[in-house]
Amino acid sequence: MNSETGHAAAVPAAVPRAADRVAASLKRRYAAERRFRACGLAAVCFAVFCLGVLLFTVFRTAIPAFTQTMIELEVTLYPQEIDPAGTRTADAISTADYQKLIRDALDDLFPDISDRRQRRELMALLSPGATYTLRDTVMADPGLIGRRITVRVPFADDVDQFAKGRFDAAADAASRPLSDKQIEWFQRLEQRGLVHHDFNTTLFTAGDSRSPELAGIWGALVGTFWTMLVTMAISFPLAIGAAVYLEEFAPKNRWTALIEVNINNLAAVPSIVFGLLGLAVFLNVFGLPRSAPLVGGLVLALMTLPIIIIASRAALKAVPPSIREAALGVGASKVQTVFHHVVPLAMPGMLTGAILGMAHALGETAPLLMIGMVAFIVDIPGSPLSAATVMPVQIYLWSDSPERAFVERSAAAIVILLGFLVVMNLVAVVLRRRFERKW
Amino acid sequence: MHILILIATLLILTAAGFWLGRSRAVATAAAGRRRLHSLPSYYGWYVVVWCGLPSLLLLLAWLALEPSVLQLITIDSLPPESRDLPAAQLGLLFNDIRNFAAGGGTSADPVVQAAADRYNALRWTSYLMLFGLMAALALAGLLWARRQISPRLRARNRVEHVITALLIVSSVVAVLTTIGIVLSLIFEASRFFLRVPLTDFLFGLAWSPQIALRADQVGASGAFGAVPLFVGTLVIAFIAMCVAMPVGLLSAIYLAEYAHPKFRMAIKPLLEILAGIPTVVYGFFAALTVAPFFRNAGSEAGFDVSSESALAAGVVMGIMIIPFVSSLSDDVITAVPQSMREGSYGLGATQSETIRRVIIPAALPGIIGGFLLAVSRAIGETMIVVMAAGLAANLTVNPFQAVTTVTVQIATLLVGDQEFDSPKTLAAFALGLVLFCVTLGLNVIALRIVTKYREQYE
Amino acid sequence: MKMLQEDDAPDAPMERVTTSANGKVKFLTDNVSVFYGAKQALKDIQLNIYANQVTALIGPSGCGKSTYLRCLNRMNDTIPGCRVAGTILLDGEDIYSGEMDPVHLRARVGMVFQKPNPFPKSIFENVAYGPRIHGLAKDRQELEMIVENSLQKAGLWKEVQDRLAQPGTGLSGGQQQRLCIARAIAVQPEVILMDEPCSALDPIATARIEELIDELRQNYTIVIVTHSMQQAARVSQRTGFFHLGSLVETGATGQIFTNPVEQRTQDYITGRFG
Repeated sequence: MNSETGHAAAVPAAVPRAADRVAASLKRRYAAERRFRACGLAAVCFAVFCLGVLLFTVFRTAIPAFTQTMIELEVTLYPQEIDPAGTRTADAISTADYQKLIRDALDDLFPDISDRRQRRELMALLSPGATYTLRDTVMADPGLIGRRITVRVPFADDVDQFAKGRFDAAADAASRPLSDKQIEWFQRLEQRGLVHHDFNTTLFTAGDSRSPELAGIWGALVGTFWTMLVTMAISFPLAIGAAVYLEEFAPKNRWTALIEVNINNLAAVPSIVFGLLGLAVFLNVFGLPRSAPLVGGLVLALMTLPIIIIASRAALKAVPPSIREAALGVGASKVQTVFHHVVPLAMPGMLTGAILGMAHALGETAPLLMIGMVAFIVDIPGSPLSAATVMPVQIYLWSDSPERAFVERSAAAIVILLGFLVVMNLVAVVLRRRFERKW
Repeated sequence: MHILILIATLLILTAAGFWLGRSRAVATAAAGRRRLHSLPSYYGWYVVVWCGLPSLLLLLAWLALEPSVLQLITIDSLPPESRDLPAAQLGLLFNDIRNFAAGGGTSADPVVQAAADRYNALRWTSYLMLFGLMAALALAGLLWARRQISPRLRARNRVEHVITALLIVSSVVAVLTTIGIVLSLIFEASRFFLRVPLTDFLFGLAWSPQIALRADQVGASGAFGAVPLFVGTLVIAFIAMCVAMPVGLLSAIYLAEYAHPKFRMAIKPLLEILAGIPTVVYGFFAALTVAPFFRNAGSEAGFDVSSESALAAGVVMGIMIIPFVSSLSDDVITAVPQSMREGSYGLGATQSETIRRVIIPAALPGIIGGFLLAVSRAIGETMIVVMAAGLAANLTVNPFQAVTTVTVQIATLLVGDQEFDSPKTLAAFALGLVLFCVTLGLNVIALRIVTKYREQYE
Repeated sequence: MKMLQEDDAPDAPMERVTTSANGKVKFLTDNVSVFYGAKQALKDIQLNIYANQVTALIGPSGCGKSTYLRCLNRMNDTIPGCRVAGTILLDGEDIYSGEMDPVHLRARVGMVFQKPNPFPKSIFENVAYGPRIHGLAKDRQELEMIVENSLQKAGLWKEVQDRLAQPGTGLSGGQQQRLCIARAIAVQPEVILMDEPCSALDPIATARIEELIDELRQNYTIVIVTHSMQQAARVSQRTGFFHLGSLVETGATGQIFTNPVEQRTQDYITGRFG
């Protein structure tokens, strides 16, 4: 009792003291508050800044790749050069020496150059693809033979880079890939109005090539298509089956708990390990072909499987039990309940998960290196069994190349890949928005 | 595309089976004036199951086994002098045979040419056999199932059993994948450890996986001490976490506690974009923008920064992990009950005091779990380091120097021409095994912590 | 500055404090309305809360009594879209004026919540949290003294003195709530707000808390929201009855429960609705 009154007596004195101490601390504490808040904002800004820098760099590097410097050449298609026998068969036309025709056309533009070495240097201005362009033109219309036609053929990548201002004519001659003469010739061509900057269609129609100006992403795109087709065909049904089983049918025992833990951990296994699995099992044990989209698709399917399973289970969980009870209540079997009611209701969520999983697979590179999809492949793959590469691997290959022109093409490929990813994510967002319901 | 023909045939047969089963069920019910146990279509599906499933299994088994069986038979029929070649050369020879068989050209070597022809003939025979067997199996199944049909047959239950079994099979695939990973890694790694002792691998300080081409070659005996790789991996992962941890955590705090809802709605998708960018793009960014930037900045400041410095790879990897850390932290921070915040505000704490002294300690297990997952991701990340970190196995913790990582070495050892038996190739699997074990350990711990944490507030 | 404060402290409140027959007015509430977005949760509340008394706020759920309570230490500030109109004076100072700092206010007006919400820290750290953030203890020794004092006042000392380092979440529900009261007391507030402090507790724990409330009245002004009329009758000296966002009636507890003026109060306490 005594102590009780003691407290009561002490408190009125203590109360203002505590309040004063609080008041005295306020300034310092609010400063700390502002500092902390500023740190948070700075962190967010840093993340957004990084994103901005990354996208800016990629886009700025990519833009030049969408144009290609071309030369307008007047070529005379002498019949005696192309088809001396006059048979006009496709075989004869395709084996003619078009390079000579091009060389003659180019020499016509520079009658002052007679030195052999210089003429070779002059010819080096043009891409080796120039002859193919001419051949294809003639093959498409043999009636042109004997006429003088105007064709646009690509410059070599070094010239293209020079035209895009990648290096300076004033720079030290040893450090730039073009000689003084070559630069002078190019400038003369420019003055005559024969140089054009065209949209780079090759980038979208060609396969890979050793020459940057002839390289395109079409082969990689088709390879990606086959790979994704295999991935989707395998992972989507398996993932939905697994999700439905675990969420709707599985008894709660140690075995299913093990499967659950296993799936969660599998989702976090580094992708390169899946590549090792593909190499050891699909290539060495089953003897499937190297570099094939089939194997790539299988590996990516196993990799995306846990991602889609987890998303699908979340979608199934979101369907309220009342739906199941209602269906069971009218006498539907468990399987009927699940497949007639629960799965259709969860389908948008599952599809969203599948699309996000596919987007993940679309950008994956490392496991595909393991199974040989990193080879130099010129041909457009015709089936899931033919050798192919995919977009991200193509990006990797090109950005590793010493030619500057490959780097910008690699950036262009990134832009296209990001475009696909954006579309896929948008579809996922729209799906989620449109079908999302709150029960 | 012969397989497409097989599958098309099978599809036609099963479609016919469905129709036959369904109509027979209706007919028997009408004749016997009995009610069918199940809906008619279930009888159709019952026939489909019997018709399609066995032949599909046969097809899969055939496709899996055909290549090895064909190889055995082809090699067996080779002339004895080729057949007795060492295993590696025999493998090369067989590859030749297969390539010629596929390409259809003519080979200079008559042995190869003959074998290729034989190989093609074998494949054709095998295909015909498969076709015949599949058709027979499908037909037999169809007829047998159709005979079974009577109104009393519990078709729905049978079909549902099959469906459940299929569901179980698909959920087991994930387990099989894990088993496949573990077995293949252990098997190949153990072959490696037969040649290189485990202790040399785990504790050796020198890494140069070149193998002497000739026995008398100097200095290229191959060294498989993985410590420089482990150190390199840890250095890069550490740099990455130094970037990702503070930025990710602080931005999660800011977005969860301070940001206006509209600001959050605008920023979160941006972070998701950062998370969705393929790693190869980060690698491109690291190699072409960040690494030169650091090298130039370093030379301005008087440091010698390698163009393949650990710093560039680590920083870019950190940027990649920011959204990962941020979204995991966001989850655990928002999971802290509102009553904790109110309790703290009610005592007169400012917002930052509440966050630092109540929310973060309360969310700490979850945050740590998230960090462990992020570390495991940093360790397993491949493309950024392949493109931006070097191949030189320097044993250093200097972030300005080039280091190499476990994943880089796996990738370089296995890319390009490789014979499968050399220690060089097998070393990749040993490294893979280490990588798998470490990341698995981190994940198991992290997931357990996070699960425990979630339970605490449920 | 220091001089000014010391001059200010004893005089200024004295002048502005309003006293009445019921004692010194701690909180003066004039014409207070609260809006959540467009929805009005409280309408024109007029209410005085007197020092060193227990004021109970009763009424059916959703009537606004908790909202009112949370106005008194500006806890509503943390809810987005919440707006308070009208005047609330604490010792004559407008707590919603620009000069009043919510942190300072909450240090003076502590709060105990419906569900016990100890922080996931040790018992000691839970109680020490307030003094630490406000810098109330010069050193460890003083902090330990504050913690012990507060736990004693909350009647928890004897039960926990041997396990101060154990987590506060490991205590029983009633103990947790008393820990939360000790945590509030440790800041040495003038007023303690209690939002249905016993609704999550069993009868024995409730009785213990009610005893405690009565003891604390000596030193603190207490406002308690309760859904139990018996509890209001047992612990409070004054009672306010809220209904549909309005204060229907207020007065001495005895008068409210035996002889209410308003018909609605009569109906509620006799159990006709609520």
